[in-house]
Amino acid sequence: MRGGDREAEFREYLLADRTRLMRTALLLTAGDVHTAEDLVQTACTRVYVHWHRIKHEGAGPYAHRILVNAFLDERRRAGRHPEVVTAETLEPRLTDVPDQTDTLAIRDALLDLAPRQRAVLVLRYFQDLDVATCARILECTEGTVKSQTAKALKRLKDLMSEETDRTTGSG
Amino acid sequence: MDDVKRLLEGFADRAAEALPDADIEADVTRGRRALRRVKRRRRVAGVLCVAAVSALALAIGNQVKWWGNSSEVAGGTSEPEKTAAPRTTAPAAKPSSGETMSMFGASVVQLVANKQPWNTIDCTLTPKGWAAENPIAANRVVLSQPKTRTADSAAKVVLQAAPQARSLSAVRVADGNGKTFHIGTLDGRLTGQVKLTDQWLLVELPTGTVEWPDDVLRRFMDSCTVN
Repeated sequence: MRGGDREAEFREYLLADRTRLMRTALLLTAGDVHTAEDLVQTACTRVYVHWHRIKHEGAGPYAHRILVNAFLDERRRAGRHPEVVTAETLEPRLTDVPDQTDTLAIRDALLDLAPRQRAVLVLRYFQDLDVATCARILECTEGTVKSQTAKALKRLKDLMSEETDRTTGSG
Repeated sequence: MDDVKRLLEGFADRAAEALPDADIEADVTRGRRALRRVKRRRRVAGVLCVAAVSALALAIGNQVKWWGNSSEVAGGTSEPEKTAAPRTTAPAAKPSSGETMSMFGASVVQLVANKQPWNTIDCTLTPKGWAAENPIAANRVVLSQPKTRTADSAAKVVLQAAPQARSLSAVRVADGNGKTFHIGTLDGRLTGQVKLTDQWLLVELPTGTVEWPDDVLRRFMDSCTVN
């Protein structure tokens, strides 16, 4: 039965790939668990609906494409209608590790990057995708991917250096 | 660039470590619901498309019918301008073609110029393919189709002039050109009558005909005079 095939195959795909999707979403959202979970749920739902169309090309690439585009849409909407924070925001759920300072520094650095720069960084260095694939996912030219990558790397390096100087200076 | 990769992987690992296990069943349920919504939307869109296409086809059919009617008459009188009273029930014999349009498959009789002089009763229009039977009586004209081999006048169009009107059933009344047209049934036949000067013209149509809508019968009667 067609419906049964879809569900069984979809479950199998989720078991294999959901964790990776979630890690990508956490990077895109700079550790915002709730937004990351929303993005992953959006991507999974779209994968399910279009399962028979995409399963041959590979659900993984499609899911990651949906994830990144959902993230960029969400950032665009947030830019138009920014949230007003009226209470203390929750810190990302981080384990009790000695280098928590570094984690927070990375988080702040990621937050400081523009959404597209963050997406490019995640796709190129976390997902190990090539420039052409990134361009297809982000629906831009390869030149844009390269320039965004360069800007993102420079900004990340500057931010991490500032953080290191600040930590050294206060330590 | 390995540094960047290590940085990102380390951050992702730490961020994901404390998370609970994913609820796969919830994802499946969400997907199922979304698929149902998509299918429902497609069904509604499909129904709306069919409705739109049907409405378009009806509109085009109506246009074709109106254009067809306006080109059929050679020198005939125009249709009565307005209807004085709303239509009443259809004649008892057979479903009247008064409301039947050509686009529903029923053929409608065509009125053409009458080149054959009759007698006391004379009409400038005549149904196409019908001819007056000879001899033509003074106050009675019987029209038949050449293919009709019967003496039964119930299968023919009978025009009669009389000083008195006949009582019709299920009458519909319409005014036009200064005349009042009455259409109803008489002895099971679709019949029209109109007062012309001091005589009544009665037009009885073949029993069970569906080819004479009211407007065509009115135009035919309007083209007639009684001398």
